[in-house]
Amino acid sequence: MSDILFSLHSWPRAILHIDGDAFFTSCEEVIHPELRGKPLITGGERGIVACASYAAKKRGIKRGVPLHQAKALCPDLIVLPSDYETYSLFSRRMFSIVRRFTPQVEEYSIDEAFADLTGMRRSLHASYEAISLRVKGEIEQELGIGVSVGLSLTKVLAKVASKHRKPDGFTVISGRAIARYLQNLPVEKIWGIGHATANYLEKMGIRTALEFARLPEKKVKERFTKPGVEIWRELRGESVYPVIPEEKSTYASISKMKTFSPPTADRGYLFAHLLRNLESACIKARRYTLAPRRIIPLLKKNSFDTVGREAKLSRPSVYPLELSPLLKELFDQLYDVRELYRATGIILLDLVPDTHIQYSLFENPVRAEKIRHLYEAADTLSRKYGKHTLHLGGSHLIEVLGKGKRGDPTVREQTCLYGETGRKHLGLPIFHVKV
Amino acid sequence: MDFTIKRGIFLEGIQKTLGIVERKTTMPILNNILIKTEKDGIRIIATDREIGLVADYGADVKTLGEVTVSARKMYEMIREIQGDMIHFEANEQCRVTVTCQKVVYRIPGLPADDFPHVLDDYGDVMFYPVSGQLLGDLIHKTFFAMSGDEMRKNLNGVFFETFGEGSRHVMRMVATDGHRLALANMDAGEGEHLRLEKGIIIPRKGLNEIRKLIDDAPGNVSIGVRKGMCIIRTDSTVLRVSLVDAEYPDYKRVIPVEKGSTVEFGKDAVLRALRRMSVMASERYSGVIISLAPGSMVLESTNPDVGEAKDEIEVAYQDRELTVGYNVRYLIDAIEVVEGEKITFEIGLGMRPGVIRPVEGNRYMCIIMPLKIQ
Repeated sequence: MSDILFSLHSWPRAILHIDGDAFFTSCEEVIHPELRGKPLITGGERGIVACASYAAKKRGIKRGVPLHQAKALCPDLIVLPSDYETYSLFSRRMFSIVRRFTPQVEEYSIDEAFADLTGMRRSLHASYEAISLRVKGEIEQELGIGVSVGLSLTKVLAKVASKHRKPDGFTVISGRAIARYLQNLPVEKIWGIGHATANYLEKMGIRTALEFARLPEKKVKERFTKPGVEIWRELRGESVYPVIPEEKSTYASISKMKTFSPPTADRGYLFAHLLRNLESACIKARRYTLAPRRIIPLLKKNSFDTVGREAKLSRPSVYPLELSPLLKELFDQLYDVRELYRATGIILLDLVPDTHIQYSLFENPVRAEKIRHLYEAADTLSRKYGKHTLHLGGSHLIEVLGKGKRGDPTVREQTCLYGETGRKHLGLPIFHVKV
Repeated sequence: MDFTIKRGIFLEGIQKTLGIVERKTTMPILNNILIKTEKDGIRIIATDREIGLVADYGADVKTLGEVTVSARKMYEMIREIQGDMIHFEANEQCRVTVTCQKVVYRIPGLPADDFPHVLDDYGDVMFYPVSGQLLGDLIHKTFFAMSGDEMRKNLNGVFFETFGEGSRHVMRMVATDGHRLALANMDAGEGEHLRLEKGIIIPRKGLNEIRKLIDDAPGNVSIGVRKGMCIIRTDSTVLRVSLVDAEYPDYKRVIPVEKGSTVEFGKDAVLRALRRMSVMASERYSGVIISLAPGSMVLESTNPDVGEAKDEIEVAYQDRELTVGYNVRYLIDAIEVVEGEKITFEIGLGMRPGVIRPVEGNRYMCIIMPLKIQ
């Protein structure tokens, strides 16, 4: 089947996908060299495995498994709390290394990036393969973390390539080689094809990516919606999705969800967590001068069932002080005394620019304006003294009772100077070597 | 049952029910209208259980009876028939046969017994005559300000109340969506009148039907209110509307006591200028910035997604210079319904609401909350 050609040209576009190998644990291994090669996981504060190192994966530990199950599989497992500040620092350094080779870099997630290398051969005096190897080499050498790299003609194919061999993989899918890589790839492994589409394809007798890519154009257009057709074209080597280098500046929704451990049934403490999520989400929304029209509070039970309730606001607002009475009302409807809860979350929906505020006739705009000024001051304080320096009384309980982290604090937290927050500590290099 | 009726009368009679019969309902019979024969005519009844319409039409009746049929299908059938006289027949099994010249339609109906009761008995309701035109005018001047937010039941209708002013009797309608409030008064004259001191809330759908009824019957209509419903009667038709069972907000509280800076302008000139601004408006940005200086008013609208607009019109204004933002749609809605050419706009200062009203008379005002544009 490898005689099927989708593209005669080898490199109409050259798109690179870089994917961190067990990213969180790799970062931990860098700052704790003594842990290298040991079965290691992060996510201790959530009570589940957020990321497992390759040594841990070998022992059968998978992502999302509860801690006690993981410990049963591997008694000498090392459990670390997540230290997102450190991971995001590594992530930023990784992206800046990629940017040395091309300015067109898309930060897809904390440990994944797309880079468009098209046209860079001449200025870098190297083939696309050689450039990709240099990107990979520099990340590994400078940061000490492993990455898998895929090079191909489109984003979808680049992702197929980086997944092809992991960890420490380097896979090139040139135009002439597309069919070879797709023939044994199940369709559901393709980026953008989910459960529903995979099931639908199975009904049509299509199980591999190659079978999908070989469908005639007419049939694809008849039977699939726009995203389906786009993926089909990308698989055939025709680049549809551009690499978008801009940082995100608008959002359709903002959500904040935090897991704490151990689970709790305490009404006040649970509400404090929910309110803190609202405060965090509002901070983010204010940073982008957006305000939601609808909000949804979520409570996740220990059984992982999640309950939520949506409410429409009488006018868009990003001020927890204005939203908290409504939040309390929704919380009271959701909360069940007999349940244990492990996480709370907030979704801000229907975000609109917060530049035109239409006050209501039946409210007091002077009070609303005062609240707005209060939060301007709170944001100034936060910039100086750290997030949530000024917060609502309702969420103060988590300052008193703790954020519900299990186990030891992260190294970053331990090494904070007096009065310093994790965020401020960010710029300092912290390589922690035990002597 | 068996009757013959003029096509035009029958078509109009059914058409009037189309706004009431429900399209999506769990009770299939609510898609139907009830047709009943009387001695010298027929009665068509439609309801969605909130609103009920009973209308009588002249017809040549041969045998008495009653049946229900799909309103929509009936309407489509009669619409496509070309003859003058239509013959309607229903047998014991509720099979309806409609014939006209050589056209024969047969459709199944449902027994009338299953149809909900629309008017049990309203003998104890007191009816008062009201000018249909003035009632329609009250609705027209307030309808636009009603809330479309279905979560806020009490604002999904128009508040209707009456009060005495000296020996005169005043009827008032108020509507608000929380951002603006429209209020219209009507002098009902002296003597015995409908009294609604506590006020009632008439829902949107009901108002639509009342408007249709008034449009068809110029002159006086009779209005009566009984617990939870409002009944409007013309010579041949009775419309029953269930009222919204909720507390209306204290609207008097939001009527500004202090007069703000007052500007006077011509209705047409300002409407045209506002419409020019609204070209730039979108769902996300609908603000217009009004800058006032003695003698002139500058309007500006900026929408990052679309573009910018600016205009200036002559106005009568003597106060100090000021700048204020409003939702352009709210201003247009409020000004469009004003009678008369001259309009005053009292602009409240410091995020206080503004008031639009005609220069002459106190029959209408619209209170609008400004838009804070940063």
